Amino acid sequence: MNAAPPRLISIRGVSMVYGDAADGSVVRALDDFNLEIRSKEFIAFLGPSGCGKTTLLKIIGGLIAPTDGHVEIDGRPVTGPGDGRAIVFQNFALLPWATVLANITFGLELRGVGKEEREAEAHRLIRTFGLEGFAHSYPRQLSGGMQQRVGLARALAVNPEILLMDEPFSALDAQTRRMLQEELLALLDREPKTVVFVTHSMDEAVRLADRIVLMNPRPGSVKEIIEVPFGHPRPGQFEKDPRYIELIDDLWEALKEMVWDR
Amino acid sequence: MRSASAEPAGFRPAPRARVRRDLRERYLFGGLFFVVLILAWEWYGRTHGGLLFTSFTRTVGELVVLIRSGEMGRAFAVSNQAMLLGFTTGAAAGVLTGLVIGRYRRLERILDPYLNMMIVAPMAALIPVIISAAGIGLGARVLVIFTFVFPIVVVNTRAGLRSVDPDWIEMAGSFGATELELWRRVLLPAAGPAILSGLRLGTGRALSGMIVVELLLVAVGLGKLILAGIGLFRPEISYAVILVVVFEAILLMGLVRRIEGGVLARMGIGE
Repeated sequence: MNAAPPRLISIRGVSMVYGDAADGSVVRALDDFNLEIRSKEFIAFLGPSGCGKTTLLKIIGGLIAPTDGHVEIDGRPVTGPGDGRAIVFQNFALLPWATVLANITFGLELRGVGKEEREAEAHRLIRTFGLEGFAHSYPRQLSGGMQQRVGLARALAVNPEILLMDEPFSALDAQTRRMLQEELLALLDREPKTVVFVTHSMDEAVRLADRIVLMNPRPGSVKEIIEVPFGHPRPGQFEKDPRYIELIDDLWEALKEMVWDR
Repeated sequence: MRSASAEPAGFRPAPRARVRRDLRERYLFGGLFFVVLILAWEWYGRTHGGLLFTSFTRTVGELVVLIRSGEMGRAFAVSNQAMLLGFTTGAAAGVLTGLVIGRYRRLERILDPYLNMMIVAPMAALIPVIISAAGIGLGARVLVIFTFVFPIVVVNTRAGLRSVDPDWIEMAGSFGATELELWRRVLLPAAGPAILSGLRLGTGRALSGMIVVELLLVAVGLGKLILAGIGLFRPEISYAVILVVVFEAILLMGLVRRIEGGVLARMGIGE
């Protein structure tokens, strides 16, 4: 038997209940969620809104603690945010009073990295994301696509092994989204990372992920895990492959059911 | 920049011509309005003046006399001593309270009614309480000015913290920021502009508190001069004092606004 690849993230029986049982305002966001995520794997959580995918991402990120169950990374239970993980946010979460440079170095500064070193790293990322000339601009002076490039650069600056992305491109227009998807894939090609990517876009999930975790809504749980039959980097024009079309169809059928069920 | 051409080509400052036009409007029309106001005062003072009201020119004349005799300077110093103490203590306590209740909502729910009471309570009605608590000395005047400044600074500071995007807090948390780092890197910079505008409004409140307390509670300083003008049926004295106070208010609030502008510009938040 071949040795299995190292399991980096284990999600074990994670449940999340919001609200107060006393006054009956209980929302079950996640119910007994189990998943193993392999090292350097690109996992997409796909599901209708309200399926707890963002909640799950925040639990993996250590921002919130689950009501039940736990997440392990390399066998160690997650107790809070920490090195090795960085989050890219849906609404960018850039600090409006800080320059692009200061936003990118935010995490490094908190980790006590010296000014010279962190700025060198920031400038490297500025070049990676084509933000040259904007180091001293403020977020409001940038387009949405460039703002999220800054968000990505800020996350990558701390050199995380695990990138947690919460619908990072959903606030962008279609062309910009495609552009950023391509940039992300190119980047992961050069510096492989484990990525947990939350999305409600079927196309995005198929385009980016190795495996797609289809989630049931309320309470969120695993409905189905789908292996994407295309490797990285994706073959040119793979959208015309019948398997792509079939996959999108299957996903749509499953999602449609869930939306109607509610 | 390698992506879509729809992205803006950097930041463009306002064209110079527009800046010049703005300045011209401000000084020309602002100055014109001032002149009209002064002329109206002069005309009304001359036609309707008497024991209770007087013209601009007589007021200015009296102002020169009061300054030369040193009386205005002494009164000004006495009043502003209380103003300075009341403002600094009120502002400091106000900022601290605003920060705490802005961050800890549970505390806010408890304290909110008292804050509202402080905002609406008529000071004149509370003066007996203040006299019994602090006598009629400097302490009482400082206390009244404190109560003028405190609520408005609290309300603005709290509003500043409320404007903090929860995403920023979450983002800082995701990089492992401690509470102290969160304050330093996110909460205070975010609330800064609102705190500063609270301090600017507080400056104005401190000045009106300074006069109110001297008219109603302890007749000293500038308030005493105003009262003297009324008592002696020499309105030019009262109006000379009012001119001084208004002038001081404009200067102080302009100063705070400049500091505000400087801080905002440094933070990249233009007006």
